[in-house]
Amino acid sequence: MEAVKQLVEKSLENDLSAFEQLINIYQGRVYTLSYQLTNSYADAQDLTQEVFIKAYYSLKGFRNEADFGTWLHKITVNMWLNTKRKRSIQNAVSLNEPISDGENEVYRDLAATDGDPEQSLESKEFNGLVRRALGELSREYQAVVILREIEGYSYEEMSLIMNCSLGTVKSRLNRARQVLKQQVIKLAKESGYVIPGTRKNRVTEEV
Amino acid sequence: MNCRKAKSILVSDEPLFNEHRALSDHLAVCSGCAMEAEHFNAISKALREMNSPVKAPDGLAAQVINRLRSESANQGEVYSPAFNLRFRWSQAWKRSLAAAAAAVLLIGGSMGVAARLGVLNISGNPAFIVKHTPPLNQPAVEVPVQVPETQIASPTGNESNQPQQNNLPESGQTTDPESGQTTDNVSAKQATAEQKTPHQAAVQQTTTEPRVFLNVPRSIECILWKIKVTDINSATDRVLAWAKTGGISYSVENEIPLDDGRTIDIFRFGAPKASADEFSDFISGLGDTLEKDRNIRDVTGEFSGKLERYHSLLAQKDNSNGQQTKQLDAEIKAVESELTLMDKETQEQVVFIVWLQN
Repeated sequence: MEAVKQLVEKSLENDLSAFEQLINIYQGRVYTLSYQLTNSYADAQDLTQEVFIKAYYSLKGFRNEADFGTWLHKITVNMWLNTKRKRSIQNAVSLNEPISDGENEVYRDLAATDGDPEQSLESKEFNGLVRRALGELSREYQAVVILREIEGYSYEEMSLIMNCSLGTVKSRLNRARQVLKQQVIKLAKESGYVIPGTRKNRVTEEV
Repeated sequence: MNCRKAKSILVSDEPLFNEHRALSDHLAVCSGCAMEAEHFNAISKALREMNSPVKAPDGLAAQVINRLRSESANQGEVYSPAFNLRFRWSQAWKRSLAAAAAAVLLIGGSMGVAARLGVLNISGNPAFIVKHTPPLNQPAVEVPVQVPETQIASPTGNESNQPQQNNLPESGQTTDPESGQTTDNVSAKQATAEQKTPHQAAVQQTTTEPRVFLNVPRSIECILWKIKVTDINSATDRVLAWAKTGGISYSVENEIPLDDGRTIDIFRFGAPKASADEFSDFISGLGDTLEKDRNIRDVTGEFSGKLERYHSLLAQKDNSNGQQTKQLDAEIKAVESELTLMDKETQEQVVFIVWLQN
């Protein structure tokens, strides 16, 4: 952590090699969040670049009150919330959608599930469905869900990242969860999926 | 526990310790809530499984550093976090500058704006004086430019301490353009500088409600014009008087005293697109054109960043109180002014950076 602080101080003195080291340390975190937000490798790369450019010029605003990575995530989220969607959703590559090689469909090996292969496939299909449903939420809702459920941030950290009160974070997250659940059920119904864990209860209710 | 309470706990992921038992009891007897709990659990599990790090593409760090390096190496490009405008100056302009110091003078126009907003530390560079900078509704921030005493002793520097004159000259009463009398010229310049053009008046309006700015592709058309004139004071008066009567906004003037006694004045004007050609004709008549360059600068990203800051401040204000609210209000007004200016310049104006030298 001390090393990071020193690198930040050197970067403030226009030491680009120090800033490059900071990029090397944090690019994975920023790129991963960018990818979760944009659901597209190309957009994630653009966003990550812009985040570091902006971070470099805003370094004076970093006062070590937060982890540097969290500060970068704050820039990432705010930049994404305010940037026009460049590519259509059809062009986006979903994290959990199958990749077709012409004959077969394969899945990215993301869910480290073990046991019943059928259950594993079902789980992956369901994850893809959740990803699609998530992409259909408003950006504010997507952001809170991703920060909390995927990135695992605390409410306090989210409050810092999103520049809003704890109460706002909680209420926005609750609304986002509710809307996401409804969207998942709607998509599940349309595609005849059964939500894992509810095998006995066909999805015929709700929405 | 009833269904309503159970559902409110389920949607939040933080059931209180004493709620666990009651919730479990309710789910055991209520199939509707039990199904809802399963849905939330399944979705949460799916989301957690998406938490796999994605490797950043190779060369990403190098790309960022190259961009930063090229921006800092390009003396003619200024990244101003306050104004969020980056002007790239043509090679022709750069070639015309004999020394690196002159390049600093060249970017003074936009740096002056940034300096007035208190973000660029140019105190170590006394090469230019921010002579007249009409206020942009920024009462909380003083100009941080430190000017050596020898330069402050110039007539313009002294006048900055004098009381403001409220009776501005009418357009027909401006100083004789050819008179060349310093005192008259300075007073006319000051009067013109202090006058609020319609554009600035719009900028200065304090809004109580947040303004809506469109986050659309934006670019600024910028014409850089370097002119040799016989009498710089006279030319300055004429151009300011023309701007005043022509509804052209005026945002910064830098006066740069050169070692050999000559002076360079740089102005930044925002001309309505409809008047741009007429203003061009007028400027070309001021003297001999040494350099002229037209530049269209994409400021979509800069505007977007500024807008992001604006929204962020508004959100902070909602959760603030007392002194903090006042500070945020001042910041919001400043950012709003900058957005208003950029909005105007990108949609309705052509920006002229006019360099006058004798």
